[in-house]
Amino acid sequence: MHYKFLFGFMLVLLIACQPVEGLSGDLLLWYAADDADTNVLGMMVAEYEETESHVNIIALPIPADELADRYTSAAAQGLGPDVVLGSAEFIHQWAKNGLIKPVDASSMNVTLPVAQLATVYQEQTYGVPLAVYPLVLYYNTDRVSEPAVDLNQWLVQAREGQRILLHNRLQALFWGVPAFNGTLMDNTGQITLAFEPVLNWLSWLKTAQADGDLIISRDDILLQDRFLSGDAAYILADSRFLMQATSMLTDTVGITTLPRGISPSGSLVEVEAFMLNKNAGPVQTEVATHLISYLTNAEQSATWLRETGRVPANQNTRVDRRLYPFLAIVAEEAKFGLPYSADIDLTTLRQLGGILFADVLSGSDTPENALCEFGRNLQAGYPDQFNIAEWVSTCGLEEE
Amino acid sequence: MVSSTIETFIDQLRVVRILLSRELVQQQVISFFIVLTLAWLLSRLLQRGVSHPLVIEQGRLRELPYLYWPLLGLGLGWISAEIILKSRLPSLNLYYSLFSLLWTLLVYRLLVALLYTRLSEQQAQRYYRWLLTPLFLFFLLTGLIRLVIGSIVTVQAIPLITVGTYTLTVGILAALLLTIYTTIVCSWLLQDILYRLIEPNIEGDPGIVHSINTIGRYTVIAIGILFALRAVGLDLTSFAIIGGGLSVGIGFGLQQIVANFFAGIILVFEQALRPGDIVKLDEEIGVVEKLNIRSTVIRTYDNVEVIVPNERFLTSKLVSYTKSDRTVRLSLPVGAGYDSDPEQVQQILLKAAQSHPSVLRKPNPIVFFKGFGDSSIDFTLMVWLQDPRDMPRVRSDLNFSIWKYFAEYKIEIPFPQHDLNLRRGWGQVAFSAEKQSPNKQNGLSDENTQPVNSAS
Repeated sequence: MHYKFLFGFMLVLLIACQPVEGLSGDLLLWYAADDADTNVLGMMVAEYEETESHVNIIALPIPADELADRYTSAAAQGLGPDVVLGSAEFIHQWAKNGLIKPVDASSMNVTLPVAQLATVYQEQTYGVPLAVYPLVLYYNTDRVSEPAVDLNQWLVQAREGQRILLHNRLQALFWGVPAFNGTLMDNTGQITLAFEPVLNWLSWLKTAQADGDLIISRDDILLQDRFLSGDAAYILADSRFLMQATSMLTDTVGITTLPRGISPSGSLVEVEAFMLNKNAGPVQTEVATHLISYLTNAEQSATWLRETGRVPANQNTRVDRRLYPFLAIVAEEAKFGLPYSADIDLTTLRQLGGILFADVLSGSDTPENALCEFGRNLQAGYPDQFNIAEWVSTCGLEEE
Repeated sequence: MVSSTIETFIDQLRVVRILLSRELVQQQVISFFIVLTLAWLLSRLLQRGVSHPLVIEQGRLRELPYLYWPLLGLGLGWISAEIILKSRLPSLNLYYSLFSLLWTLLVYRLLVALLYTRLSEQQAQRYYRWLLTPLFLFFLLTGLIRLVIGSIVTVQAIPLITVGTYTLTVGILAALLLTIYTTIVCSWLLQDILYRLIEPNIEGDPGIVHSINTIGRYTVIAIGILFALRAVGLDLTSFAIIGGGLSVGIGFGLQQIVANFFAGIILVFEQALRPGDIVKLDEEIGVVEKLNIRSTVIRTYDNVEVIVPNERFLTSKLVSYTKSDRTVRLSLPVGAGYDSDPEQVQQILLKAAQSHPSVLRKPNPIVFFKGFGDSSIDFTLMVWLQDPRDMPRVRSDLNFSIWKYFAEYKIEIPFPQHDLNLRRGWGQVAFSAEKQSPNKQNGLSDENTQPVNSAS
């Protein structure tokens, strides 16, 4: 009797200790807290856990404004999540400080070039893009029957009293530089920003400000409220404003791509990506890679699009214009997004760009002088990355 | 709901497991515990069996053995990090963060040691157990949660119970418990502070200190209740509606309790009654022991505790011997024979009074010639006492003294005598009285009985 019991016990023990086939283990994921995201992510994770029964995902919502700081602090101690879903802007800082590790690019889904480049730091990919947030032009159909397609038309409408609302930050103002044949950087991570396109764009803004009804403010909420109350014809915002705009203005809101100049405009596209903690163990890394691949595949990208209005970074996800007319325009705009790699620290560029636009638009400095000062600061901020060739003759910058 | 709460807690444990499975975390945590254990062993060696936080010799603080462990831990931790670990581990951030907890331990132990230098052993024990230790554990726990999860907010949001639209979370429960704890601690902290600050400045009236304390305590409790309600997330405006409904109930069912409650508040604010007061209520004299918000405890001279509802003090006649002045006058009626000298009697009575240590010299003891009684000349000795509680004892002592002095000076203490006049048949009565004398029947001599009008 005892032998039978012992035999049975040993059998159970052997079965229990059998190595699990396929993936297994726990995984900790942090993401910016948002009710819609929590529901969708919860649903997707539950589905994933059904197919991978030995995997347990703990998805922890973190307040959006705390996510970066908390990750930085935790990962520096070896703690924090195995995977973090956040803005790719942090890749530069986190990769530089050894807080995230490269991902296996071969296992990634095919993503938009602009999104892919934003995750590259020193020729290594540090993130898997989930969604892109380019700027688009929202307009009030009661005020504007046909939205402006180029900067000239837009200037005419502004002179006719069609109010334009712009936010006073680099991302919201820089999009006009490509319209004058400007770029930000090349594929090697060198800042190739030329003097002339920026000057032309600044001059256009000054003209629109002087002749037309152009309001530039740093208060996002104020600008959005004025547009939602029907007080303005145009506002520039990304797809996160879409839900609010369509619910408040219902039939009177329209979306279009950014007005072009002598070439298409292009905004600095914010990219949302999954990143891997440098300290994640081999089991967690394997599970994380598999999970990220699942969450960013074409099918799940379509779910993200449908449920949260995220424009997928996955190139294989088609945004049907008939089903999602507005989001299709956002997706189209993303194709013209200004490519930039994680090699440059956007934080410094933001600060310098903010000063440049503030100085010019407030009238405290001429566009030429402000731009030269901007060039000098760029050279100081990015000594090895800023290509000053076109600034030497104009501003007298010297190569170090 | 319960299962989801359990799942959430299990998830938190999984998070800990995930973190502990990381090589870098393991290296730092193990290094920390090795250093901590070494520091502890060294501190035990240095303490050599001293269990008390302080070593005081000849009234002076000599050592603080209680600080050895955290100090050695911090020292060894720093040395090991700089010399051994820095070159071997890619990051020591967690290691340093764990050592920051030792600073908490050091501050905690320093405060405990300070308590023992400043307060009595009993008081220090109380603060140590009920204030510093819970605070230390709270900081330690929140520090660890912050370290592991990144923020305490995540744990706070874990739901526990849902009733309708209301969800009780870990955070709300923690806030509630913390508020209750803080209220309790603050109330006795305030009590101790008030006693320390006010008592030396108010001479001879501990009642006032107690009254201020009572008011302070109930104020703190009231504020604590408001904070607790707010912590739970209850809307105070709904209490106005509930209060309206309750007022009807109070009008009927809780009338007595509420009346006693408000009477208690009035007594405290009016200072009509204070602990230590000697009062007479319903012919019963006693000392007010404790003044609670609903009832008052009076200890009688029989050492019986009487719990009196506060309303009684407002609705009945209350005699207080100590309301504004604790001195009390004691009157002793004394009778002396008609053959005694009144002035001599006066001197004797004053001598008896002045020789008693509890009798006050000011105001002076006084003897009043009260009048001519049926069988004695009547005097009243009036003396003043500092403490009303001495009245029965002093009365007895003075009676003993007066008896002794009267005997010494041969002053008679008369008793009532009655003359009986028989108008007719006295001989027959006398005969039959002699024949039926009960004393004779009981075998007693007539010498022990009073003569029946022997004069007549």
